[in-house]
Amino acid sequence: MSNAELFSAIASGARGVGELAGVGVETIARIRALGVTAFTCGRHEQAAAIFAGLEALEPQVAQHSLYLAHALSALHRTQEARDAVSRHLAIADSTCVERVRALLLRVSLSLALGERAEAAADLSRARDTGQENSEAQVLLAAFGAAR
Amino acid sequence: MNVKASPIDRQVVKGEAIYSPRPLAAKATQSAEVLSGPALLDDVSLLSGAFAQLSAGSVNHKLLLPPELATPPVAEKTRGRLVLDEAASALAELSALYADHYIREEEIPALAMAGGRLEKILEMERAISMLPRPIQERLKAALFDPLRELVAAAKKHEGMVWGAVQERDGAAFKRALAAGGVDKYTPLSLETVTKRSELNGAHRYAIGDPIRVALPQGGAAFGFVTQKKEDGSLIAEWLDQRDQIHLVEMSPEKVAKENILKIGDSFQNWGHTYWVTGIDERQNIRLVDETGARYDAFEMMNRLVPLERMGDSPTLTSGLFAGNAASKTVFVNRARGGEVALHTHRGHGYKDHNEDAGATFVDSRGRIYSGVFDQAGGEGSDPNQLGAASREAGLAFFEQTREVARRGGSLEDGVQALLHAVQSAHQSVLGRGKREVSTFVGAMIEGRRAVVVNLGDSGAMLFDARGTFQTKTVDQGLGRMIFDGIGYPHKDGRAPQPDVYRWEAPQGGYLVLGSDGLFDSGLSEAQLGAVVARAGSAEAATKALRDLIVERMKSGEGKKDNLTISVVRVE
Repeated sequence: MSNAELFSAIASGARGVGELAGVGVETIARIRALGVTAFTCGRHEQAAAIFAGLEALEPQVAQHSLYLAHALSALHRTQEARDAVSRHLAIADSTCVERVRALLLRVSLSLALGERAEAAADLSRARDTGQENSEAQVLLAAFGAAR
Repeated sequence: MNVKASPIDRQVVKGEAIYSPRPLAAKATQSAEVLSGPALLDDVSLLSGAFAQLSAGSVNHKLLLPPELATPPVAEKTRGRLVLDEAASALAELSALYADHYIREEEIPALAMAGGRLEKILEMERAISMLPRPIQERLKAALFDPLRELVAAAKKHEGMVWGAVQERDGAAFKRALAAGGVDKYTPLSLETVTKRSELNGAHRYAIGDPIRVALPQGGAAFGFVTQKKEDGSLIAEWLDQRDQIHLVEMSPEKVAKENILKIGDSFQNWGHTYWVTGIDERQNIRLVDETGARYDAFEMMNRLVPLERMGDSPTLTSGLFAGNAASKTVFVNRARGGEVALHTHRGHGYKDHNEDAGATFVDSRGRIYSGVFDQAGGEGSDPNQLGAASREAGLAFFEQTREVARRGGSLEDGVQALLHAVQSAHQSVLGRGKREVSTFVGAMIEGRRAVVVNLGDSGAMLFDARGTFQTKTVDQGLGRMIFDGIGYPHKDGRAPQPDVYRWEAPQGGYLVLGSDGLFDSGLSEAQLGAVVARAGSAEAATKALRDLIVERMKSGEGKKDNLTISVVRVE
């Protein structure tokens, strides 16, 4: 692979820096656990830095973007958070309820940005996605959005 | 340096350095993905209920967390082990490639994006301080240090190639200018350029026009308009690195936000002509001047002057605060040669209105004009027009200096304009017959040279970048005794006699104008200079002085008075 191809692959997210650099799965799992701990302890700045780094190491792993979105949201970095959850939704192969949860997160971020049309569209998508799933229905009902 | 086809050639500027939309529209209609417009909910009341529940910060918001992030941490019983396979050697090899080999121009966009990713990983280094030190050290040696080397090598080569590209494209642009080949650009008046709503409205775009496209995943790309929707939104297409066409919908607000200038426009400012030729390697809108030099559009727009936005009647938004008016906090203008900030307020414990006035603006050559006017409280006053005399002084300042700005006059023209402003305001105030009197201190700053005209007990001070006092105006008053001023009725009928100063400011120095609320604060010149220098910018210095002096008014250490401060920081 030439330099150009290598960097194009990294830039497009097709290959992760971690894979190219030889950073092992165990290392990444360990760093992710550290990020989770930072988040649950309320150390959102550190969590955001770790998840952003993980996303850069493994851009193809949707979970990193979602975690980053939550950390940025907690820091009120709303626009960046919405960008991150959008990246997550673009590549995530998630379960129904996980997708509904991510869509609802994006709804709340769009609302915070005053972009109600986008929020309405996502809310509608969440309702469509979750209509056959009882767990998702419970989640939607908690937000007054169940059908 | 191996420089082949330029992204500029490829995307924006053809050989003659004129943008030329590519015929992507036809291709797009064949392979475009169908945009699914936002599905609208049919139940509006349900939607508003959900909105209330989903607003950030509501209790239910925690339900959106993935279970892993919602679970409190548990104490670990075993210490983790980090495995780094071949990180150091793999990255060192990459680094060597970039340190020792040429890079082709078409690699640059990918290199820049990859560089961004690498820097994000480097930011992680600070965040992992919770790990045991030996593990941190291993990560540093095996991952972060080689990454840092790689980022530096990539940046170095990116810079070298862009330097060569810029030189080549600058030469091409100059050739195009010499051949008169820039007529495809739309010339705009500076007035239009400063009216953002007219400048970058979606209505100005036609199908086939180039546009900066905001990408859903963040960042931006160069694209073309393929469709205009009835609601004013645009559909634009763009090509990714693999030549795949994508469509994206942009609302009018998005168009305006992402396109601070419209590609294909040109305008004149500071005696130069600027062409908006496309987007640069950082995906920002790019400007090119007649020398081929490139500028960032956001930076340029921040420098554009409010003067051209002013009508014949200056207003608060254009920098005149007069007639019992106050700046909200600090009014700021930035120019090529520096920054000016202004604060005027009734102060503390004095009167419930503000009879000071302040004015500032920046002209199209980047020169700064600033004035402070203090209506004397012990003299006449009109309860129906509070601060009328200082308002007359401010208006005269604006009217006279604006003409200098418009015709590009010199600093000496500025002196004459300021002197005329004094006499003009004096006649206006005398004509009011209310026995009102106002001070006048006005300045024009060009680069590091400043001229100051002062009448009365307001004044100006000059500091160097470290806050060391340099010089100041001579006070034309003694306590509450006023010897001269706008509207001052001299027994012999003579006109006011302002002092004129011509100063050379040190690099990074500060010119501070103020009413006696500033000068009677009880602070020495050294103390004032220290506050200004510590703040580091005109805006911060003005705020810091305001906060300190108001506190001193509250504590009784400073004289209770209206307060007006203007700080100019020269480059």
